[in-house]
Amino acid sequence: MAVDRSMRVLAVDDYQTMLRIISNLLQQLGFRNIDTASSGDEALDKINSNQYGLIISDWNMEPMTGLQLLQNVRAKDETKAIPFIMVTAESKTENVVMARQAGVSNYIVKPFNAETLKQKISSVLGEF
Amino acid sequence: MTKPRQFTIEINNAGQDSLPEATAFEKLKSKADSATSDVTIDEIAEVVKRIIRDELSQWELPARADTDSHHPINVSGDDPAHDILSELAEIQTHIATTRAEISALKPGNGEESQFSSAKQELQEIVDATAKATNDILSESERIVEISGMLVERLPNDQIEVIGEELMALDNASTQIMLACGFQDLTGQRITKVVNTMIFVEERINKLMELWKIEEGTGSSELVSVRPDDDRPDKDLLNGPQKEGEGISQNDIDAMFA
Repeated sequence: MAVDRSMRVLAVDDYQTMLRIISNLLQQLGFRNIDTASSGDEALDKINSNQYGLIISDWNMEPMTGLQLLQNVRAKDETKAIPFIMVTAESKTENVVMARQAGVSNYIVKPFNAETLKQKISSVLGEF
Repeated sequence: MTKPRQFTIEINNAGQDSLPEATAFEKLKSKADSATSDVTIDEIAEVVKRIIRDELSQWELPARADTDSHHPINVSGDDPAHDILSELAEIQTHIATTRAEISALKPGNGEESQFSSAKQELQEIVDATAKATNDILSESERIVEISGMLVERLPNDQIEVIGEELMALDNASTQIMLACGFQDLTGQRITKVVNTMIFVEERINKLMELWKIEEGTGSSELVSVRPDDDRPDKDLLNGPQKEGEGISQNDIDAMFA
């Protein structure tokens, strides 16, 4: 299956720098419909009012964390199937285990490179 | 059978029947000596507490017991009471020193705490790196944009000639963008340091409450140089100033005009 680059992608991070980096990388991978949110609440609002094909989110945010966002997404029938990639500096085993239990599609540890992002997206959406 | 040891406090109090502590002591001693003693542990503890308190109130610090000729008690040789009081003197000195050290952590009247100043400095680091990173990102985005414009404008034969270079330009821009991710990670590390400082500050405030330190002797000034720095101009070295502090380049130019 090939990646549908026309799908809408949501990037969530409370650091504007990281949002810009991820948005730029997604553009370079050919995605053209990229939205950003700088908090879990803002992300939920957007998720509830748009059809997303992929969510890429940071974990350590306030007040809603990336894990809580993931749990919210997985708790609703309309959104529970959206691929969700966590991009975070949290690299302890228990973090990854917890994220997997919550239903994360893949997990990227910061700092990361463009190839890693491409591979992880490919693993959940298909070949580029 | 070993003879019961008589302590100096006991000797001193024995001749001072007018003191309430001495009376209580004698009463207690006589009860304790009797076969049908009904003295409770609490009574003994209360009397001992009062005697020690009374002894300490007569004691003048900072002179040590073994050098203080005005000391009200016998300080000769191997007297165990002397040892106890020496230890207590040392403890009291340590307590006074600790209190002074803790006071130095509390800002003086009208001063901001050093913790607040340090937190502000760390926030300045976060803000400055965020601004610098965004500037770098903007420029690398511009490089990608120009590279795209070149591809659109150049004829195909020329694109074939410089295609590899354009690709390398794009890759370099991507690497610059990714490297900018350091700002996110350093920001998170600084947040951890700030949270730890808040934790330490709260504990110190608790200590001040316990020690009833109303007014501190500390300053809001951050320590710019190491304590062992012996450079003659070290007092002039304060590092970068906060926004609005220090003078501008224009002001400096005016001073040279």
